[in-house]
Amino acid sequence: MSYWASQVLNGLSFGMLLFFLAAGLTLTLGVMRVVNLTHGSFYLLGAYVALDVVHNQSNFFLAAAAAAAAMALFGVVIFGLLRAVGADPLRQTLLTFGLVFIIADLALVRWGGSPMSVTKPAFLTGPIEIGNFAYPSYRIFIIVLGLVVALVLGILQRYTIVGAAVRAVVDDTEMADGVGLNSPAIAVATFLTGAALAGVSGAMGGAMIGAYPGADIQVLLFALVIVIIGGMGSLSGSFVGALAVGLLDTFGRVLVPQIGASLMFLLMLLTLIVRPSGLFGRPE
Amino acid sequence: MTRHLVIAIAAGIALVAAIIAPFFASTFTLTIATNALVFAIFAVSLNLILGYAGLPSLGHAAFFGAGAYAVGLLLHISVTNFVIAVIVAVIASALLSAVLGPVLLRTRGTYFLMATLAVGEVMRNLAISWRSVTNGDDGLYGIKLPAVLATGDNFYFFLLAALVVIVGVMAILMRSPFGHTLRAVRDNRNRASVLGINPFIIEMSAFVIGAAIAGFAGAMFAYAKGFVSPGVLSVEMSADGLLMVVMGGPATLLGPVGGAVVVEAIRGIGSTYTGRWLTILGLLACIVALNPRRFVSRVWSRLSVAPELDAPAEAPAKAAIEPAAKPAAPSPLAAPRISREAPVAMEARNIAKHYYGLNVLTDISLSIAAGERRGLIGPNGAGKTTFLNILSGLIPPNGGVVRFGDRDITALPPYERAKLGIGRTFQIGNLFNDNTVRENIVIGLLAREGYSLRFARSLSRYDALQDEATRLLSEWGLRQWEHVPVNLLAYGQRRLVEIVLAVSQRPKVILFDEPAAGLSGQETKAIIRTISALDPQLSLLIVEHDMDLVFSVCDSVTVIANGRVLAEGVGDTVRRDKNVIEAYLGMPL
Repeated sequence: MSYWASQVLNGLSFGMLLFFLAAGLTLTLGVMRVVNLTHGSFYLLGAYVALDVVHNQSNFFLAAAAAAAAMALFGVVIFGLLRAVGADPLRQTLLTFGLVFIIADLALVRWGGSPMSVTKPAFLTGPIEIGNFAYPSYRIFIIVLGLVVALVLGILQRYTIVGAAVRAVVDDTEMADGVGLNSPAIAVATFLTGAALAGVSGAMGGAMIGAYPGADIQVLLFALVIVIIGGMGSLSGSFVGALAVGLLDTFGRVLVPQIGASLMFLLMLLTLIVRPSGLFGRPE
Repeated sequence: MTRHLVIAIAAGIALVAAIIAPFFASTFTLTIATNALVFAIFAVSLNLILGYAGLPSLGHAAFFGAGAYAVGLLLHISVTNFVIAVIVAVIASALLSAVLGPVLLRTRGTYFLMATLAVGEVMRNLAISWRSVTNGDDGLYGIKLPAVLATGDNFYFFLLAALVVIVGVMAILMRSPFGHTLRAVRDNRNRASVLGINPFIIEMSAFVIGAAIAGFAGAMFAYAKGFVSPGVLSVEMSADGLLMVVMGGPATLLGPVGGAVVVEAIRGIGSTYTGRWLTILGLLACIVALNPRRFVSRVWSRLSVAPELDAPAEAPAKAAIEPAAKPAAPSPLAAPRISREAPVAMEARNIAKHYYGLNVLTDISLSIAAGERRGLIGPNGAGKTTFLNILSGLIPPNGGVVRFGDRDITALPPYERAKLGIGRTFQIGNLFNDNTVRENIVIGLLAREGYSLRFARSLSRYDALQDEATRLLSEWGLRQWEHVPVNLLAYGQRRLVEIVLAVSQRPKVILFDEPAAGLSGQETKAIIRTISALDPQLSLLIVEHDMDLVFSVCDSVTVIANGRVLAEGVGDTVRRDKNVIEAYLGMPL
């Protein structure tokens, strides 16, 4: 019984981590209509930055903030390059793929090929015990943090002027421009927020699943699948999708190890059959 | 013509160089060259999907890998025959794409890109985790070429011959009715649909052919390496293909071959002299992406046979459209031209359409008799275009029934409706813009004849179609501009091409969406003459704001406002209707 309970918590905490990633990706996709494949690289670089900061300053939260800031800065560069490429999706894809290659290769030079783990803050290293059920407190922390961030983002998007502006740009960029919104500025801000979120998720995930070469593509795929399932530009879609994928992946690997890693893709294909633009997405 | 000559000479020199290369090159160079040939075939297959079909696939490695694994798995069950293995590999990839295609092609644009990427990953994950069959990360070993191919440089020559054949097949395909239809669907899906082309079947065919060729390339890769591992299914593999195609020039015949050669040369040489060739490849991808006009693709797209025509010596001046020698129009409205007993050609009953709570159409019923010319007018936002789109099947209604004759066609897709005889023109010039006037008409004719799935004979050799196109062009006074791309035509001429395209379908009903929108007074007069002179047997439904056109062409007029029918009747009655004046006309006409 407690075994399954911890599997559920594993799935939820992994799902929350994925939500950080997918939320950023879905916002950039919705606002800019750009497939930013470097989103997974933001995660990996965020994890490595956090790793270095923890190593020097031994403060996990400072490290997470540094990861967010560094990735937001890096996001400016990527954003500029994407703007320079123009609207052709093939070229956008090619550019971001090239960047993924370069980042991965240079990160290998700088941080080496062996998996590394970001050190958790001391008070989150032990388990939380309820009766005879024990569960890692760090993962509980991730779940709580994920819920808080989801709530904050949801409130921002739904009830604030900024959120309304972002939704307007997602809905119809031309019209948004027409009523006086500065859609390029909104696009930059959204892109940076997405990059920062991915950086934070790198710090969080670096302490949970680690940082290693190939993690960039791996988490990118998770995020892409979630965005497809949830629908481009939809935060609630990302939230539902992230939890579903987190749970499905965790249980899949336990119950059917041969195909566990493919289950989320099957869920995605199923979603596409029923709703080609995702659960919460609007048809294009 | 000279350009084609240059391309032919350049390609010939490259081919000769490739043939004599093995006699001078080192083993090392030849290994790189062999790889380049395999990837050239891969890139050509991806180009069919990426370039010609315009589908942004990032999962093409799935089909490459399927072919490679087919060879490895056959060896596993002791099938070592080369020919059988290659045939199985091709069929396996084609089957896989036939199963996945219907799901993937439901998505468009970014979703398609991500969905194909994910499909590749499913395959890779399966290859890694299904150890009992695939041997996991270690892959399958011991794949050997048959003795004939293993000796000397024979495999290299075999691959070179295969590449030449595949490029030749591609050249034939792209000149065939299928190739023209494929590009027409890519350039303007809705227009192709209302001409009676089933876009799904066309894209699906390209997808399966591309996958089959990729399967062949994968099998060759397995033989070249002697083993298969999950890497053949990776996203990186698909990305390499993308780089090759975009670098060489999408939708060109030889561009992808050039791209593959460049990328493989860099990979081969780079990985020998530096550990950082991935960075080099990445930089190359960024440069190609950033510098579309000044980099290699430009050189290559010039050297490649892109299926386009030479630009006309002079673009046509904006000229009045003047259809030649057409019978004088019968004067409508003077007497009821349509008897009350005329059978119903097309009918809509209680059509409703809403988007997220916004009611566009509440309840529209309308019936057009055979040979009737009906005007449909109403204020902006009344839902006129939405209604036409529902009649032609481009969007489904939320309620109501559409009938053609006695038949309920509410659920029929646009291309089926087109085949029944429903023609359509669009409000904004909606043609195959990069194609010439003649090509537009010929695509319309081949769609009407149902030739879109003919793969072999060049479209230019379909004499009956070409003759009919010539006749139509002469008849409608478009002959002198037949080789001009339609996006260079004056606005009024484009509207005329729209009408000719609709008429060329020999429809029973034509739905006009604002044929005079944006035209000058003189051009409008010409359009009025043109429409008036159409076959009196044809039923017309004309959405228009130009009241001259409506009241001089149409037998009767329906007025809609706020998603409902406001009034209906012959011109004079409608003109004097109080509600119509209030809602739309503003004053009696």
